[in-house]
Amino acid sequence: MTTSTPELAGGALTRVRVGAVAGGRVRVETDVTGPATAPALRPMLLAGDARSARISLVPDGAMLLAGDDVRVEVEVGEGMHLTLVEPAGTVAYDMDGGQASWSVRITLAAGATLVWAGEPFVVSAGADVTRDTQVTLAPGARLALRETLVLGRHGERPGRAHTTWSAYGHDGRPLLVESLDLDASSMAPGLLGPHRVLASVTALGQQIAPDACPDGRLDLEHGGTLWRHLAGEAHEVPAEPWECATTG
Amino acid sequence: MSEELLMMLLADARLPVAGHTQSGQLEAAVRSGLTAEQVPVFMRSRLASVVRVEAGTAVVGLHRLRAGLPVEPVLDAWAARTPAAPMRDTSRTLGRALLRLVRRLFPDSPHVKAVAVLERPCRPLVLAAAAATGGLAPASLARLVAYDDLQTVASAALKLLPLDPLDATSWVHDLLPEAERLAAAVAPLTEPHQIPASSAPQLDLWAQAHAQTTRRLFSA
Repeated sequence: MTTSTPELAGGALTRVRVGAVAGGRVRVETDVTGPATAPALRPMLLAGDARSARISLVPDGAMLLAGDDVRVEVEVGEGMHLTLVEPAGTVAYDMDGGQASWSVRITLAAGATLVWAGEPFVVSAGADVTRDTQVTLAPGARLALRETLVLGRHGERPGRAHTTWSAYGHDGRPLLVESLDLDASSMAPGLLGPHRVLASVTALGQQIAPDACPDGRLDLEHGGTLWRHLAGEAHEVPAEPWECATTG
Repeated sequence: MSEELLMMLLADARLPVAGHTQSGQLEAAVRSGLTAEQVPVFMRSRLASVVRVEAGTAVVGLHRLRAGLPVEPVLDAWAARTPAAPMRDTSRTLGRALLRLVRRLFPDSPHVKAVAVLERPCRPLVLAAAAATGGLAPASLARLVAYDDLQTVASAALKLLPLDPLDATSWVHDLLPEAERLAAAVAPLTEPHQIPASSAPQLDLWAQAHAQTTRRLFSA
């Protein structure tokens, strides 16, 4: 048992480390620890060369259910490039009074790049999920992260999601810190409005051309850009911000 | 100095600090279809998000000024919790106007000097300097931030929507318990990382869109 939160029995920790070059290829270390029955994200190496790797995070077992505690730690070494993909979205199901958590730690060394194309995360009616994302960037590190939070399956009432998000520079200076307590009451003017889909693309450590992708674009204080879109359906979210964040 | 009288002075809409130029994103909200009946819930959304961030920033700033600690980390924490550049710009513009006033009122205050040396301090930090100088309690300062926001939106609503001023004031009154809960929640905070980071995605997008329009009554 590796979970640090005893009330969540189904804890599994997925580690992905992309480090120094070994024999002309980037060294990729992945492991999953936790009870054999706990649902986990299994990293599958899709491709790799001298400085980069492409890994798919494949869900192993049904998730996300009450008691699940999915944790992911991603480290990208100096000058290395990691692309993470997800084969499908994630659905947090009715937890019947229970809770689940999903937490991600990202540590990027100097000059490292992480491109993570997250798929929609659907919070069904009756689900109660904590989602925490923590990012640390060394000088010259770059992050492009796509997240799409969907409150409720199609035609369904929203579940509950408590999300916290923070990114810090190597000197401990906060770059972006935010929290959202989302449920049916969040569909109020100013918060989500009548929308059940909150899409975010976060680009840190890279300068996006000032006039590129202006729609939904929020330029952060200490560099970096966050694009936000509110929509009724996940497929209505525009693709341009992700293109800007990954090619810009 | 009486804490109550200083509170009244700082909360007065007649202060020459450009408060009348602000709608708290209400103008953008009305432009995108917000109705008069929805204004109270809009005000409540602000209390649950951006106002918590501002009030928390003010309270932590007050603590650090009184303790003689640097306030740059408070400004950084606030900026990281305010992703929309137009919202940061607005707070700084209002902070500059308020700073002119508090410098005049408290020319010898070390707290005002500590905030004045920051590059473009945000409004809650300038308020914190006034509060530190005048002896306001953290909860009072948080109440001031929350109350000011409610009145800003209410008075902007009267210019944007056909409303009875008595209705607008009763909305403010009905949300005072919510403002009091907010003040109680943030009053004990002392560290920058404790400042609430409650996000309001639609307010951020409205602030951004409003900054790009040319035809507008309010600057934000």
